[in-house]
Amino acid sequence: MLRIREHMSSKKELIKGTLRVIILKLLAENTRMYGYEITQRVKELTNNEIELTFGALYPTLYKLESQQLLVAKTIVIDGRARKYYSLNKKGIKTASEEVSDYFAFTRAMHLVLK
Amino acid sequence: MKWNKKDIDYIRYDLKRRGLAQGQLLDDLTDHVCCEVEAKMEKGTPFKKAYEKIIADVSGHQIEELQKDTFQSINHNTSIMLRNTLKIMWRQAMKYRLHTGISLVGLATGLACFIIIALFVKHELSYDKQFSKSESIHRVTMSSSVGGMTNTIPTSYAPIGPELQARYGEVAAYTRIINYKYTRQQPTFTYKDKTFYENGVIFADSTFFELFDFPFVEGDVQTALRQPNAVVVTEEMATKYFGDKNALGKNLTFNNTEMLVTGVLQNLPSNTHLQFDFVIPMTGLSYSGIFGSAGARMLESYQADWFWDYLHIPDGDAVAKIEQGINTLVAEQSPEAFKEYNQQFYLQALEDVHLHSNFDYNTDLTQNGNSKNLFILGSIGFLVLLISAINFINISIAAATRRYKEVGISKVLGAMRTQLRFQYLFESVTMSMVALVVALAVTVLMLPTFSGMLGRELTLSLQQDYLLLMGIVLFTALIGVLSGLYPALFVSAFEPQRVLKGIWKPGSGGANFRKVLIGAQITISMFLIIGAIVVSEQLSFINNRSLGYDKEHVIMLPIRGTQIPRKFVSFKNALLNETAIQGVSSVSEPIGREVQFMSFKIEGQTNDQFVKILNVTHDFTKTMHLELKEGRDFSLDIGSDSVSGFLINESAARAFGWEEPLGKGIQHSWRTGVDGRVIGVVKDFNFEPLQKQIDPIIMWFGGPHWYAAVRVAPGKNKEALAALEKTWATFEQEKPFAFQFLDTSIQHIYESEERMSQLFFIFATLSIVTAMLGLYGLITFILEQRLVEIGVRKVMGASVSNIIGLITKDYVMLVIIAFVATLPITYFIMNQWLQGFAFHITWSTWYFVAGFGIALLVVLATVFSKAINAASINPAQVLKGE
Repeated sequence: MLRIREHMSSKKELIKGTLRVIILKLLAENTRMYGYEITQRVKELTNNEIELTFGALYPTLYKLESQQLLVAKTIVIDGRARKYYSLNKKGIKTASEEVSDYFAFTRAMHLVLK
Repeated sequence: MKWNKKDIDYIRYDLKRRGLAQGQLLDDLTDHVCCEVEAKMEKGTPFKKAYEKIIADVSGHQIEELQKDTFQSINHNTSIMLRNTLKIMWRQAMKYRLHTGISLVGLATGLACFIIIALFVKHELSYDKQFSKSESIHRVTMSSSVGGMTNTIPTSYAPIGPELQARYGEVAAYTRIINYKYTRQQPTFTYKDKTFYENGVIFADSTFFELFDFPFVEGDVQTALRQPNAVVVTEEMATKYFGDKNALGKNLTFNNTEMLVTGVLQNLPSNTHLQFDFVIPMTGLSYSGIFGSAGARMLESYQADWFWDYLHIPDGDAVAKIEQGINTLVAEQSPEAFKEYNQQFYLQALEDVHLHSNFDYNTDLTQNGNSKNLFILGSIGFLVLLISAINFINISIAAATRRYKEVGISKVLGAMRTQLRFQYLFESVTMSMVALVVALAVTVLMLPTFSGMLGRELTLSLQQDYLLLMGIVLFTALIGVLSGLYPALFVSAFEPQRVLKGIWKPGSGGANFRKVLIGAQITISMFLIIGAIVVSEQLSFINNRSLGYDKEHVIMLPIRGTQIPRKFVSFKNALLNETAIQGVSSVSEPIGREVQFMSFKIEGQTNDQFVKILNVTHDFTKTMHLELKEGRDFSLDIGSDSVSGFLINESAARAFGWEEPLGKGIQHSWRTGVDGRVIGVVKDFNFEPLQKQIDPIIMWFGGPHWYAAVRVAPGKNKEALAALEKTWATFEQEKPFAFQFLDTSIQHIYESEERMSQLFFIFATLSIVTAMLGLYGLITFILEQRLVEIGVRKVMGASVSNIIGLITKDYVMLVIIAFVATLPITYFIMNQWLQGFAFHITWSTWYFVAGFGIALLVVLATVFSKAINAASINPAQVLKGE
């Protein structure tokens, strides 16, 4: 799902859970983003280490939408529909919770693996 | 960069064509791909090439995954799924109303029956457990045996309680109770102008409420029974005498004695064997003078075995030791003459009283339960539930195979197997829960009716019956899961292309399993039919059996304690002047109930004999229509009859080994010096309930103290009662007139059997109807599936009767197999029940034939009603689609 480096692709299961946090965090920092923008931002932030494929991105976005954490707004740009996603109140709260959960988890993982 | 509208449309179209996306995903993906293409084009790659490169990056595997994930994230919305499932369920239910109705009504009926029976069983098992000391209370029971005959009674001697407490530290407390009924009088209570006869009057030690902590409405538990002229009444009685006013502190006249109301009890629950309306302190026994001067002496006597002795023994291990102690104590104290009675004493746990009392002379305050009847009733409840559960499962399985096409379509549309499984399980569990809700509603509505029928107060409450309710909910869910399991496991596995092409055909699934289930249903139904026949035959046998006397047209008047015994002869003569009255006599027992024993010296027997007795006066045989086999009745002309004359029955003559009974000697053990002689022998008659065999009985002439028996001319009840009341009033001014028809009071004795038969009948009918409904539903379904086969057969030349024969053959076989299976079970269980009666019907093959016949008839009628329709179809109609 995440294409980090070719040889690491077998570990995508391991990182599967992080995708959600990534999206939540990015959306929390930006008022609204569309799909491609998210993949580009991740690429940029990770120095091309993590490249999200749409195969992973959109299902996660839809799931967040069905959980009523974010709202989508469609705007026509250049003759095509573009969906902008932004967090609602509940989404913002969830984002900060899950980000801190993630840090707590990595700290714990670090303790285990160091 | 400016986009060409054509290029965007191309991307959209291509993504769709490749099956990469649709709906919401299509918009997102189009934009996404456009952005990527844009990035590439900015680096100089032309549009076509850039697009192809990007699409090529997306591997086939990724596409599948994307679809699945997208589908899951959109559709894995539980609320949407539930809504869809419910919608499908509702449509299915509406489409097949008959089957839905049958399985719902069937299961609801079964559950309701089971809940009601379970509540009854629970009630029966809950007797006397409500007291805080229930588990450690025991009562003293005793048996005496003389001449090979043993007589057990639940009462014993009054001094046992205090003496045991003095001897054994383990006896923490005791209380003794004596029933007013031992006086064979009916007491009256009077408040101002209200006077009533009362039945439920007991005397008890002041510790009574310590052992049996019945809740008080008014009054002090500690002191309520401390003063001799006190009386504690139930709420119901308080209202009866005092209306809504406070009863506490009021005076109530008991016979002629003033009593002070010191406590009001909450109405007694029906699940205690201690049923009474008034409690008077034991010290009042001599105070009120009802036993005359004997009252005080009885408390010290080792001869008056009329007291219930209840002991509180906190240490369970001490029970055996104390039981032994009673035997030692009485052996020391008993008068010499009692030694030959071989008295034995036992301790009976309080909680065993209701279901495990089987005394020869049972005097308990309320009719004890019967564990055998309870077991049979419980089994019926279980069987009815089983039948309805089988029904539900059967019909669900059958109905599921009809949904093969739905499964195919769902799968083509992308449903996953786990979702289908969930759907089927969810549907069947929901259905079973709907049935449960209906069942609970029915139970609550029907409970008062059944309470009345059973003579118990049954209630269903969330707090008290939560275990039962939880069990029922779990069981119902289990039925739901079981019935959903078949479609969930097998039907959901259908490969859509095979089903939709018609390679797989419905109706064949689970056929053998279903047959086994139907067979089980028929077996159970047949058991219930035969059981119902046997019970009703036995009861009509009891009702119509010649009792050896004529119970019709006899009125019994309780005269003990009135002025009438003193003037009995003139009372009798006054009545005999009335044309409506044919005969008058007196007797010591209300005929038809258990009778007391006495000890006699019998000519030709070395030891004293315990023999049941009736104490009668002149004209008893004539009034009761007893048949004299030999000798004569007590005669007014022969003065010695009233002193030394004895009537015996044929059983007594046989038991004493007398070929020529007339003139043989009989003497009361306690009244020596009178040369008693047999003056007549009557034909055996059922002076006791029919559960008992006819024992030897001795009738001797005694004062007319207890009951007057009055024979009324047939059809003149009204005139006779008017005459009785008028005559009564001239002889007895204080006590109100009371009477009972002998036949109704005898009917009363068989009340629990009567109830049993009614319940058996109701539940048997319900279960048979349920089973037949189920069968009807299944046959409807099976014939639906076989229509094509029948069509083909008809085209090939089969006649209507051929086809009906073909369809019914299987079911006839099932009925026969079920019959073979039911034979031994039915015989075994029903025989157990019949053995409880000394007089019972003998088994007749007719019962089995009738059971078989009825079951076969109902099954055939059910099958025929459907088969005829199916067999007379026009083959062209069913075959045109093939």
